[in-house]
Parts: sequence; structure tokens; C-alpha cells
Amino acid sequence: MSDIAQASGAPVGAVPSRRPRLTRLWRTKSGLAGTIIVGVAIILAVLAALGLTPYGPTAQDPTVRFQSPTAAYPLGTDQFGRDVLSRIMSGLVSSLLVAVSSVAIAATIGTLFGLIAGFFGEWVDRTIMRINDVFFAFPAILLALAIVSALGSGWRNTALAIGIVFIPLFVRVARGPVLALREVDYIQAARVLGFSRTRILLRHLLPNLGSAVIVQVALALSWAIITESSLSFLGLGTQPPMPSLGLMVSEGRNLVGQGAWLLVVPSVAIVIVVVGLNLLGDGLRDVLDPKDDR
Amino acid sequence: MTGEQPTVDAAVPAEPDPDALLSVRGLRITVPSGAAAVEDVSFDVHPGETLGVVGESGCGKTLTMLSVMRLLPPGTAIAGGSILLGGEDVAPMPEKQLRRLRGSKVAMIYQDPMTSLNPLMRIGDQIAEGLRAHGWSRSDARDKAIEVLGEVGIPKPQRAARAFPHEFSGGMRQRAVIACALVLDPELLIADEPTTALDPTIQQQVIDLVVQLQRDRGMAVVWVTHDLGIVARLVSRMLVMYAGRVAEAGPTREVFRRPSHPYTSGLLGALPSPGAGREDLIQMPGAPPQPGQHPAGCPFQPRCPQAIERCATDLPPLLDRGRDQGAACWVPPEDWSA
Amino acid sequence: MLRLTDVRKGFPVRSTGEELWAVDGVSFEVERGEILGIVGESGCGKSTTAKLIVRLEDATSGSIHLDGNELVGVPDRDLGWLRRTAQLVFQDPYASLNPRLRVGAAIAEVLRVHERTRKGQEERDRVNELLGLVGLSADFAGRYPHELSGGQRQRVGIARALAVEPELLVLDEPLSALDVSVQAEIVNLLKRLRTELGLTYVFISHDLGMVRHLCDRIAVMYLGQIVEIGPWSQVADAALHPYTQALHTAVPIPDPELEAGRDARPVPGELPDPANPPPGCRFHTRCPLAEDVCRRDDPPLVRLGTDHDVACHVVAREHGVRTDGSTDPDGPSQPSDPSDRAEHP
Ligand SMILES: Nc1ncnc2c1ncn2[C@@H]1O[C@H](COP(=O)(O)OP(=O)(O)OP(=O)(O)O)[C@@H](O)[C@H]1O
Ligand SMILES: Nc1ncnc2c1ncn2[C@@H]1O[C@H](COP(=O)(O)OP(=O)(O)OP(=O)(O)O)[C@@H](O)[C@H]1O
Ligand code: SF4
Ligand code: SF4
Ligand SMILES: [Mg+2]
Ligand SMILES: [Mg+2]
Repeated sequence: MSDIAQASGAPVGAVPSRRPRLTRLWRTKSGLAGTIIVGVAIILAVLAALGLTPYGPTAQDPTVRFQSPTAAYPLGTDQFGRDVLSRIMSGLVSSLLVAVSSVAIAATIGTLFGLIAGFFGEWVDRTIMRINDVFFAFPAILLALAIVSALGSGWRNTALAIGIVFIPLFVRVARGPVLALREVDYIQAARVLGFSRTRILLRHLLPNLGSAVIVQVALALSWAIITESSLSFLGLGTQPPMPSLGLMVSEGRNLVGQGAWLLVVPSVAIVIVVVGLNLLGDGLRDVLDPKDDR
Repeated sequence: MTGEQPTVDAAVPAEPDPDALLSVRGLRITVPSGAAAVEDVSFDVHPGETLGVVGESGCGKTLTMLSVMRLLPPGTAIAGGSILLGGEDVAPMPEKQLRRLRGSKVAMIYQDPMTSLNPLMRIGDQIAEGLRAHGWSRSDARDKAIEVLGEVGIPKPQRAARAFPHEFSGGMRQRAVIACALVLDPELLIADEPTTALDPTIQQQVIDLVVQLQRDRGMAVVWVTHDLGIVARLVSRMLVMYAGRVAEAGPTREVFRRPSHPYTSGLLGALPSPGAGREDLIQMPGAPPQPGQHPAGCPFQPRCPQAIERCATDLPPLLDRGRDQGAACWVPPEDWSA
Repeated sequence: MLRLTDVRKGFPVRSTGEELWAVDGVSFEVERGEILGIVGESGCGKSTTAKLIVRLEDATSGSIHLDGNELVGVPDRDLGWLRRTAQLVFQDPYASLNPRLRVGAAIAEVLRVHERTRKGQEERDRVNELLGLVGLSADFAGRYPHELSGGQRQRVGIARALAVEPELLVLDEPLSALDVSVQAEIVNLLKRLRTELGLTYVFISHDLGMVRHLCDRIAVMYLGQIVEIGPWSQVADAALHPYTQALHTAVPIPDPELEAGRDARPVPGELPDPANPPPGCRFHTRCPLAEDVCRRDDPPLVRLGTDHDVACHVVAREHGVRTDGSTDPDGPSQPSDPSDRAEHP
């Protein structure tokens, strides 16, 4: 057995590890910008959740109604003299809460169904994809509206509705790579080695969907925020007095005459968060490209 | 045991050979990391000659040949040496002048016949394109394309000229690629593993075709391969590369009969011998080093069964071994242990 | 040990709706401890045959017996015994290992699924033992596949297949992605493992030289059928079928002196489309000996010597065997002496 020493020659190729990935994310322009924007939004929301807003988000002060931005109130005050910055921060909390819960629901269920459809193929695949296509045919907002009307408003139901609406996105995202991976040698090898289907699905296929799903999560979060804001704008999402970005836009629309910032500030906040999440998604896509996933 | 080699003659003269069609001296090619993937490579190709270039994967065969075409991939660059093609050095040559040479003086065919053809362009048009770039009229170019397609053995060349690459089988595509390369009557054809993707009987047809064309046109051929059988079948001189350097050079018969570099000898020993018994193949331990990770001294030293003390520190130049053979090794075959 | 009888496997062709017979009536037997080589050009059905034996695909018709058990048509869930008896080694060592699993974990997983060892120390010992068996040191257990060279990966692939303690290894072109020096390593390893573990191999390759070097018997396939099968010395050095002979001349010998003396004229023509094979003998479009009967009738495999079968009208007639199976009373008697056959071109 003289070949033991012989074969233990130098390894070939470099060793990629987890950390350089993140560093690489910050080296792409969109990845860096996205990380900063989303990071700031999360910090603001966390502060608000801890009650660390400059003023109480619902605290009224009739002496300072319709103040335009000043040093004391950087983003001005509204018709009840409430601080807009504090309200935006709390609004972020509910927006992110709804977005994260809904995307968590959609990603879990959608990925699972995509995995099953792609792996089993045949009639299982056809059935799942048929249902998926039906769902996809409706505009997301309409579907969410219908579900919320059925379930009733409030942030939990909003999250559930948006979650259901986004399931098909993840089914598609997961199914594609599974279809390709199913024919890959190491999955075939796992079958020949007598591994059970559950084991192949969970241990060998699922971890390879990571990058595709993560990218989709970032993008879905941004759509979820738009959808949540739209529903709140229509009065079907988060209910007052709980602040919500969509609700603030809706209220601000009626008060443009007294203070333009009441419309502009929440609208811009939504746009910034959405753009930030999109940039982050783009950055992640560049970095997690399965091409260099060796 | 040899200590010092008394007098050594370099196997390749330092000066370029004026009679050679292609004369490469001291070629050095760097990869993006700055490391040299090809270093101090020198060889000559004479008109009408066939040179075989062999070596394991990653030893720099392709980079060397691409540098002759001045078509190195981005990030890699010629960092030294000269490449004389018909007496002109192509290494510093401006792009415009290069375009004149490519196709007419030297042409290249690649391993994968699918990626070297444009899938959206008719075969005839792709062949004619090269001619048009060199100033041929449209109808002359078309006629010539059809003529060359017939010459490379494609049946019904009129019709084949109007076909798209995907309508062709692998062997037919490689014939079309050869037609593209030959249409301007190059003096030198560089073939980089053109038959690796083909089946044996189809590979044999393509080899046969190149041999015939070479005989008819008096063209020189450089055939890159890692199949020592192909080298034995069709080349008169061969070059063995290892870790970006020339390990051994010489007439094919001599190199096979009396390999004078331990690496060549290892490559030959690793092959099952036809018509003989079936004793265990001779293994070569380890793997070739990557660019930038070459050991000090002889690059083959970590794997070499013949290594002496000196090998770990001194880099051997290509030394004359007589019979037109040269090897970059401090230990002559007479002194090898069995 | 392994017996295939008239096995066929068809794939639907999407564009025409017809059936492509990737394996079309293949029969052969492999004895315990034997190495059967299968050679042939691309698309002739070598990989499909391999997949049928390990039941990655199920045959359309015919029967495959392994250790006396039928494989064809048996539902997947009843194939646990097969997974422990027959294993497959893949062509591409880069694709056959999960990039996210360390070598040790990949082997341990197999041990666990088949409950070959208890978890913990016993499992680690067995992993190291398996690595040692394929010539890798224990510290390879902690490496990821991308940290290995092609030959090392192929060794890991073999170690993993051996973890289930199989009796039969099907090796689908295990050498073609490797450099020559690495091929030598793997071939020597396979030879050693066979003696040490008493394994049986089906070794698929397009390299006649390697098959000649390693195998006890060789089967030559062309377009889904076996055209010649027999002992290695016969098929490799005294081939009878025109296609096998063509394959021999097509493969250059790494020896300039021998090459100079060879008539290396290639057989003409392309490989026909497997979805639409020529009628009669499938090789007739390229065969130098083709006659009328070849274009009409598909020649069956007939025995022309000890354990040496050939499917060719002309060669059979020259050996005094009719391709309908009976012996031609007027022709020369059936040769049994090997030297007799060796003279034949
Ligand atoms: N574009 C590139 N960027 C970085 N490194 C490169 C590049 N091209 C080649 N190399 C490196 O240079 C070395 C020589 O490569 P080359 O392609 O010339 O090898 P080769 O002898 O043709 O191998 P093969 O037989 O596999 O075709 C290799 O180690 C390779 O990794
Ligand atoms: N899943 C499939 N669906 C349709 N056709 C297939 C499938 N698998 C194989 N084939 C076809 O069956 C024929 C035989 O394929 P197979 O992979 O067995 O050939 P092979 O002898 O292994 O060739 P190679 O040397 O290229 O690996 C080919 O024509 C191929 O296109
Ligand atoms: S110089 Fe030394 S190490 Fe290099 S090949 Fe010759 S004997 Fe081996
Ligand atoms: S049967 Fe006829 S065509 Fe087929 S191989 Fe024999 S001689 Fe050739
Ligand atoms: Mg190359
Ligand atoms: Mg195959």
C-alpha cells in the first residue's frame, strides 16, 4: 500500500470559506449601498421597538401642530403635533414586522413545495405547478386584498395574506435548481447508495437552494413592504393608531396643503427601504452566483 | 551517482533559428496573480514539420499556443521572450498587423468544435468571413468556402455551406472548423487538442484529414494533446511540457525509445503497453504544481524518483542529450536507478 | 452473479414521439470475481447499461438477475438489498461528490444509512480504514471535495461506494476525466481492491488499451447492441468483428515504431443517429465487408470460439457458422484452437 503517501499530495484549488463572501458583498456597489440602507432601517426600527424614539410616536402636543422640519423636530410634526420622525421609526417596525413574517411564511412553504415538485416530477410537479400558475395569474395586490377582506384587517392577517400571495414566487425559485440538480451525479450517487428520498431532499438538495432563496427573500421583502403599504393606504392593513408607513402616506395625502412633508417623508421612506432591499438583493445575487459555488 | 555535469550544451540555441517558420525563445507568460504559468519556453517549428506538444492538464500548453496567435485570455500576458513567426516578432506587434498574420500565416483550431463556431451563422458564411476580412469579394469568398468544405471531406459542400453548426455532428463540425482555419492557406496550423471531444473512429478521420492536407499543402502543424498515441502516430518531433517549462524535446522516435527526462519516462510508464502482458502500471506520485507554487530547483523534484541533492536547489536548463534530444534534467538516463 | 437477458431500454424522443432504443437487446453474464469491460463510442448505450444494473433506470423489457434476484420492474422500495450489493462509480469526479460535505462526512453518511457501524469512534475508524483502502491518509476526512485533485476525488468516490461493502462495482468511465499518470494510479488501485476484497467489476470505458489491461472479458457495443464479446486476449488482440477491428485501428498506439507499421486508414462515415439506426446490421453503413444480407438481416450473436461471440454475417460464415444458428455442413469446421482464430484479420 505504498500509494498512501503518494496520493496525499497537495490539495488543488483555493479554499473558499463563508466570511470572504460577506466581504465580497460589501465590495460590490449595490451590495454595500443595500447593506447600509437596510442596516439603518433595521437600527431605527429596533430603537423604536425598544421605545427609544425621540418622542412618543402617538404622543400629541397641540402647541406644535404642523411644524415644518426644525432642529427639535427633524422631520416636522403632523396635525396632532406628533413627531414625524418618531412615527416613521415606529412605522418601520410594523412594516418590517409584516414584511418579515409574510416572507418567512412564503419562503418556507414555497421552497418546500418547489423542492417537492422538482424532485418528484411527473404528476406531483404538474399539479403543484398548475396551482402555482393560477395563483401567479392574479396581480399580487388584488389577491392580497381579497384575502385580507376575507380574513379581516390587522397586521397578523396582512402578513398572512401577503405570505400566501408570495408563495408561488418561492415555488418557482426552488423548483428550477432542483430540476437541474436532480440529474447531477452526486444526487444520482445518493440514490444508488440507497439514501431515502427525505434524506436526499433535506440533506443534499435543500442546502443547495440557499443562495437562490436568499436572493429571492431580499427582493420579496421589498415587494412585501410595498404591498403592506398599499394595503394600509387602502385602510385594510395596519390599523390606527399603530403607525404604519402606508397609513401615513394615506393621511398625508389629505394634508398636503398644510404640510407637504407629511406626504413626502413617509413616501420617501418607503422608496428608500424598497430600493435598499433591491440593491441588497442584486448584491447578493452577484456574490452568491452558483457559478462560483464550487 | 553524478555530482556535477562537466560541460553542458543547451539543446536549443539562444538565438532564434532564421530558417524556422516559428521560433520561440525564452517565452514567459503570467497569469492574473502575477505568477508565471509559462516560463523560459523555447522551440522551433520548421516549414512542413509536425511538432507534438504533450503534458498533463494545466502545464501551459494552451497558453503557449495562444500567445503565438497573440490571443491570450484577459489577465494573462506575455512577460518576456520572443515569438518569431516567419522572421517577425509577434510579441510586441500592434493589433492591426496581427490581424494580417492570423489566418494567412498561422491559424488555430480548438478542442471544442461547438464553441469555436458561431451557432447563429451559416457554415459557409463563417468560412467566407475570414476571406472577406482579407479583402476577397463576396462571390469569390463564397466559391472558395464551398471548395474548402469539399476539401475537408464534407459531402455535398454546396448544401453544407448553407447549414447551421447545430445541424452538424461533432466530427463534421470539427471539419468545418478546420475548413475555417485553412481557407487562407496558412503556413502553420496550431491544433489544440482538436480531437479530444471526438469518438475514436471519428478522431481517426480528423487526424487522417490533417495529415493529408499537410502533405498536399506543405503546411507545418503544431499538435497539442495529452494522448501520447496521437503523438506516436503523427508527429516527427515532440515537446514535453511540465509546470510551464519544456521538460524534454526531440525526435518522437528517440524520445519514446529513450526518454531522457524522468517525467517523460513516467508518462510512458503510466500507459498500458499494447500487445504485452498486463503487469501493474508505473505510477507517478503527486500532482503538478500550480503557477506560483513551483518548488525551488527543478519543478519535477517533489515527484521525481531520480532526484539528487542538487535538484532541490538548482533549476536545470534544457541540456543536450545527443541525437537532437534535449532534457531539463541534471541526471542523464545512464545514471538513473531502476 | 450478474446476468442480463435481452435487455432493452427505450427513451421517448421528444421531437418525433418515437422511441430511442439506447440499449437494444443486450445479454451477457458476469461471473463472481470477474472484470467485464464494455467499450464503444459515445451514445452506444454504455452508461444506460450501467444505470440499468444499479437501477437508476428501469429496463423497458428483458431481465436482469443479480445474485439470482430479478431487478427489472421491481419497485424502488424493495431494492434495499441491491444498494448493498451493487454500487456505481461515476465518470466525473467533480460532479459525483456533494460540494458541501467533507470527505469524512460523506463516507460516514453511507455507513449510517446502512447501519454498518455504530456512531462515534467505530464510525471514525471505519472511515479512516476506507480512506486507507483507497490509498488516502486519514487527514483527508476533514477536506472538502474542492480541496482534492481529480484522482483523489475519484478515490473518495470509490471509498464511498465501498462503504456499503458491495460485491459488484459498476465503473462508468472512471478514468476519462483524469490525466494519464492519475489513470495509472486508479487502475492499479482497482486491481488491488479486486484481489483484496474479492470484488466483481463492470468496467466501462472508451479506452481499449485500459480495458485490455484490466479486464478478463470484453464486450464491444455499437448503437445499443453488443457486437462482440469474449476473453480479453481474443477481443483485444484477435478481434473478429469488423467494428472492433475498426476501433482497434482508430486508437493510436503510443509507440512510434508500431504506429509506422500500421495501416491506419479510418472507417468512413459518421456514427448513425441512435434514434434512427440503420436496418439490418447497424454497422453496414460503415463496414468494409458489408453485403446484401447485412442491409437486410440483423446478425445475431453467434459463438465462434471458446466463450467468444460475434454478431456478423460474414465473419460467422467464414467460420462455418450460419447466422441462423446452425453449422454450415460445407464450410470449414468450427475452430476451437485459439491460434486458428488469431490468424484471422
Ligand atoms: N485566464 C487564466 N487566468 C488564470 N490562470 C490561468 C488562465 N488560463 C490559464 N491559467 C493557468 O495557467 C496554467 C496553464 O494553463 P493552460 O490552459 O495553458 O494549460 P494546458 O496545458 O493547456 O492544460 P489542459 O491540458 O488542461 O488544456 C494553468 O495552471 C491554469 O490554471
Ligand atoms: N434520459 C435520457 N433521455 C433520452 N435519451 C437518453 C437518455 N439517456 C440516454 N439517452 C440516449 O441514449 C443513447 C445512449 O446513451 P448512453 O448515455 O448510454 O451512451 P454512452 O454509451 O454512455 O455514451 P458516452 O460515451 O457519450 O457516455 C444516447 O443516444 C442518448 O442520447
Ligand atoms: S533535475 Fe532532478 S528532480 Fe528534476 S527531473 Fe532531473 S533528476 Fe528529477
Ligand atoms: S454483418 Fe455485415 S455489415 Fe455487419 S459487421 Fe458483419 S459484414 Fe459488416
Ligand atoms: Mg489546454
Ligand atoms: Mg456514458
